[in-house]
Amino acid sequence: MATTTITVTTATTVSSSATADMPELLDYGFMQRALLAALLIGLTAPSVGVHVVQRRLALIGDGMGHVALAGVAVGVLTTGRPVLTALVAAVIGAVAVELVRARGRTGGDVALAVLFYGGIAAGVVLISQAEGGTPANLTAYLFGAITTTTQSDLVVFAVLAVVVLTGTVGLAPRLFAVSNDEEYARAAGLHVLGLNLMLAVMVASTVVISMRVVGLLLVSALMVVPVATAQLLVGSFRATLLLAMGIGLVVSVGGVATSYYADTPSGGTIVLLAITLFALVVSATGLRRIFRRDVHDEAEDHLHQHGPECGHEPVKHEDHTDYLHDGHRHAVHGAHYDEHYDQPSDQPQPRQH
Amino acid sequence: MTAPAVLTLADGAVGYQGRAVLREIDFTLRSGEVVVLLGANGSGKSTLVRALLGLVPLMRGHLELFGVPAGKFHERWRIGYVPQRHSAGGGVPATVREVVASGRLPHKRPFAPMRSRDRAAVEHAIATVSLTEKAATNVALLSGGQQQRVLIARALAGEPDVLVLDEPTAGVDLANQQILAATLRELVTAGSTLLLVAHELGPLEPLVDRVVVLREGRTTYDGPAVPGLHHGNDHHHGDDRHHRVELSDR
Repeated sequence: MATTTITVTTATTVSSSATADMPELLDYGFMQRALLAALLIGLTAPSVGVHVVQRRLALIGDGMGHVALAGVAVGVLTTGRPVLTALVAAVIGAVAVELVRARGRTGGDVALAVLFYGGIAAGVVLISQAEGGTPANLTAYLFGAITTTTQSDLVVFAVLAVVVLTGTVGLAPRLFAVSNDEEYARAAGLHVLGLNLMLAVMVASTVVISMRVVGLLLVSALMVVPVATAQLLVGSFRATLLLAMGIGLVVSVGGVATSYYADTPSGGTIVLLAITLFALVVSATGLRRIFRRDVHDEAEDHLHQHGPECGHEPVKHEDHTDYLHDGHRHAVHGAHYDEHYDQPSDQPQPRQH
Repeated sequence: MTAPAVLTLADGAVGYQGRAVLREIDFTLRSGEVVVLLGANGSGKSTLVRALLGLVPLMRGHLELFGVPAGKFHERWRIGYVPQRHSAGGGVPATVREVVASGRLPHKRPFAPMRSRDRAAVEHAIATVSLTEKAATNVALLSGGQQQRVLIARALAGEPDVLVLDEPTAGVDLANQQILAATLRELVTAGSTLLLVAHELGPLEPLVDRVVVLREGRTTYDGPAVPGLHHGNDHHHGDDRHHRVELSDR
């Protein structure tokens, strides 16, 4: 079944002729498969990404993509089914990375560089040996193409996505504890190495799910950018995880649809869409900070509730009661106290702690 | 009728890459005791704590936790570890409640949801350090002292039998030092077993049963807290109370 590389080239002609008479998006089997693959990767990549970003390893997915390329090349050369060989290569690479990291020796980053560039170099050289193979055939794997997803790919992707999502969402508290403070997690008796290896394997699996529509070199963006966007909008780890998955889903499926109509490579389109959304959110939150009028100052920490018995003098202030506290006034605001002032001009600049 | 030993290290030596940092250490912490480990920077205090927690291997010696040889001890949650505050949070925001809840994980099976008992333990731990008002706040937005209290709450959420705190007041402003001291006082009153690493006794002095002084990797004193007791080889005066004020981390 050495058909994979051939489909890549014929695919472009199909989609370019398709723009002429604009048939419906879902009329083509390849589009149905591409959209399903986009849905799977859109959910899984940010769910892994939130843990990777938490560890400040945002670029690890990129490295895994490099290693997976060697597996792709081996698959194209031997069986014509590059997905499974890519999975094997990426998992081996991921475990190697984690073991290097666990040893924590200096020079670890050099070892990673050797592994990553070894992977991409081996991929390029091996694929040139395939029948009719040139490095140009790699483009679809590196940057994604909507027409390349096969039925059997989808089955593998679906299984991997279920496994990855079970791990990233179900084990989120444990993975969070390890990334947040590895030494504490170890002292508390959590299986730190096991959890780290599991995350590494989930990164590898995500890279493989992405290899058709997003591409091995762009998947890292789909892991990181939705998380970066989500954390501008929410303040908890759990909410970041869920919102990032929602954003990933929208940009991934939206990007594939756009790439069909605009006749652009799907991976680049998805990532540009994600980055556009990120830029919009950055500007919106920036503007909100500048123009927000309802600034209020939260009072310092409170060890007691103000009330008739606290010894602080109550003062009527408009429709409520403030309490005099070391010369300034505290007013209940939800779960905390606000500083209140007589004149608006007394109000200092917000958030200058 | 001495209380049972919680942590025992006999003839311990600890080192990194073959070079010993601690030598000939005999250390015992008994149930109900409040012990402070004093010493200058580089005297090996933190290394000793890390060795007791099994985070660095022993070069020689014998370590027992709750009377069980360390290698066979699997109830690590019984020791609540409060590490020195590291830079706030990771790359993703997390609330006080989320960080504290991670201290509850040893009591939970993987994939299992939080039970109401777990949730109650987390809320109680947050209340113990007086952060209930901030439970839903992003930890990265808290002051250094508040973050230190979050780490104490995280250890408390596991309902440990002993609390090990590594320099809990380092880099914490005076107001927060007082809140920390009040929290520790409450824990001591409740009968907790505490091992504290510190530069100086400071406001903790009245709480302390025993002081162990480390100097250049060896114990130079192990006995009751006496006023004015110092770690010996420093060059500042006794009234220097390390009033280091935390700069804003916004």
